[in-house]
Amino acid sequence: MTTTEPRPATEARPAATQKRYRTLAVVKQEAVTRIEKQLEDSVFVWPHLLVREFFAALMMSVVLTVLSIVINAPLLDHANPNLTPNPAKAPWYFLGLQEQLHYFPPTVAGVLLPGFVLVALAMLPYVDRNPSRSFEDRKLSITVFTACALFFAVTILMGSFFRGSGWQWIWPWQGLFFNL
Amino acid sequence: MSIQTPRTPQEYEVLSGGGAENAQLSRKGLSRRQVLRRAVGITVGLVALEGVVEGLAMLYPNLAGQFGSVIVLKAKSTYVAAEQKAFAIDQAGMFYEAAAKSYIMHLKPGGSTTLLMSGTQLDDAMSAESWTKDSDGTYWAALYQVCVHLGCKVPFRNDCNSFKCPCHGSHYNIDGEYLDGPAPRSLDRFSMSFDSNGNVAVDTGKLNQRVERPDVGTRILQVPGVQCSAQ
Amino acid sequence: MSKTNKGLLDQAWSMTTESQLWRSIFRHGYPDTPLNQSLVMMGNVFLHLHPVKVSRKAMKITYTWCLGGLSFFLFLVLTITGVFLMFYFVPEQTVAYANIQQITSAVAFGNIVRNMHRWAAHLMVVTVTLHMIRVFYHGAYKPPREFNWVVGVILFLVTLLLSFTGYLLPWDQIGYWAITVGSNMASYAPIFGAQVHNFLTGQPVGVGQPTLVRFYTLHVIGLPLVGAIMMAVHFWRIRKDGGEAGPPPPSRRELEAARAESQNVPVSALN
Repeated sequence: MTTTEPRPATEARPAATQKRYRTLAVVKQEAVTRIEKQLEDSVFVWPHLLVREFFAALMMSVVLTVLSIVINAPLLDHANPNLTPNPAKAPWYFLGLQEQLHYFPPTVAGVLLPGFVLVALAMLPYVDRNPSRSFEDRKLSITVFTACALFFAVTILMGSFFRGSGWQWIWPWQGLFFNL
Repeated sequence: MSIQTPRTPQEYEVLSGGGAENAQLSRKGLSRRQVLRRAVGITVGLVALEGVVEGLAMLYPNLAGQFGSVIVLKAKSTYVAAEQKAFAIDQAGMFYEAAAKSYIMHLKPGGSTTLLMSGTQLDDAMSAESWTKDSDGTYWAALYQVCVHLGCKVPFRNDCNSFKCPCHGSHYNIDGEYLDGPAPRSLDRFSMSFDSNGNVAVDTGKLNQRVERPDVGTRILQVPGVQCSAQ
Repeated sequence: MSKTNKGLLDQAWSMTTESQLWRSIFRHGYPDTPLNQSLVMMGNVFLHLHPVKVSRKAMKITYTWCLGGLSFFLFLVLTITGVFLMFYFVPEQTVAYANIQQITSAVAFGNIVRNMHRWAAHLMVVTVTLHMIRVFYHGAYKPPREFNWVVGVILFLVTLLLSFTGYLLPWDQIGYWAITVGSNMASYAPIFGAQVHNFLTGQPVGVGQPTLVRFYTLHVIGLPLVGAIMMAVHFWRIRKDGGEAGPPPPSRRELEAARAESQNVPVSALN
């Protein structure tokens, strides 16, 4: 700006009555429409939500403390590279995969299947283009997801409680081969 | 407590802005709320206590069986008593124990042992220098291996019949009493005892660091009187 | 209640809360007025992850089951107990097992802290999984929350890996063979199988000292760091994507029925 430019008329007014304008925010069109949205039935987070969260955390602390007093974490013998326990089981959340290893070659059950599941989970919102969130409108996706979840739940249960030495089928009352 | 006038939810909302739920609670009276509040308070207190106590206790060093606690050594018979001039490291009178970082002295009176005191004077001096008198009349002491001058490990020299520090030549008698050299006082010693199985136990948590340089009046044992080379 | 009638405790309390120190920490009064309830949420670094107000429906315990919050709480518990365990654990294959034995037998409260760490880890896998299932059934992964779902999937994977890496550390027969089988599985990956295996275990064959150090480092700093960053993104995105999704809105059929009713047209006429 050059000094020769004529001063705006507003500056001639006394400082106290001057009105200055600054850009505080740019309001986009979609934001404006959002404001017009109907107000939800809302409550203050303090205390309503915080009390619930606090209580949940407190209950979890109590449960965890009691659990830790009552049940000891397992500690088997010192690792021995020359003695494989029979059966050698993975942590429980991987026992579904280990159960599938029983049926499929390792490349499929150990790598491709979990890889596919993870990628499919991550891609889910981009594949499922159905905009509705209602149960009634999502029969297909809910059915597929439930089937997959059940498949993993069942294989995890099978691997955990129904497999014994040599990965042979065994009923839980015949012997439990499960470590947490 | 002053008398509480019941409030409508609207009044409560205006007064405290807490919402309808709080208004309902305040109308119902306090007894149930107080019970709940106290239960929650006690639980919070217990959880917090658990955190603090476990946190501190877990980090506090537990020295059981390690240096810093009572260390039970071998049976008493392992430490063969000897007269003053007959001391030989790990064979007679003086035994090194690495776990306790100490020398166990087991002194037999009479013969070449020259005690410069007797009676109650001897008893006082012995307790001041953390000696233990055994039922068979022999004397025990557990000397801390570290030179009180600058912390070197002091070896027992059979040829000197005494301790001679290799670092700066501080010289101590077989009971750790200062003889000569730069050390400010006599060797430090642990309190020791015998456990019920007849083993020697050294409390490495209790170190007596107050044995001064002895003079004619306070020295218990005769000086060795052997020429001691620097090496 | 008159002012002069105040108990000693009340006086001490008001003296504390009116002191400069207190007022420098808490810039507002006790949050029992709408203004203070807003100020506490905006002014407190720990609370500001939450909005000032939240939809009553989305907040319902029977809607969220607090699963996300509990997962985060368990992560905090695991961090704290894990730090305490680190004081006594050396990732060296000849002493690691003895260290665990020392923790469970000689260290004050060591056993309970180790148990807490173990059970909290298992519980966290459970709560994270249930949280994911809950979010799926409520359709809360749909736009605008697609990306936050992806972050959630990464957090799920991080949780599993954290639990898995921790499994090896006691160097007992459970962990040793679980990780042996697991890492051998990685070598079946197409094309880069052997490289992936070596990268995980730090040695071409079996599980040994390099594996222990790798898993330890991943367990105590690598994965928690990734998890913490992803959690920050996850929480931030909840707010930025419009807060909790809330229970699913009515279905298309219900909406149409409602519309038809408002126009006084029989529902059957639409079909």
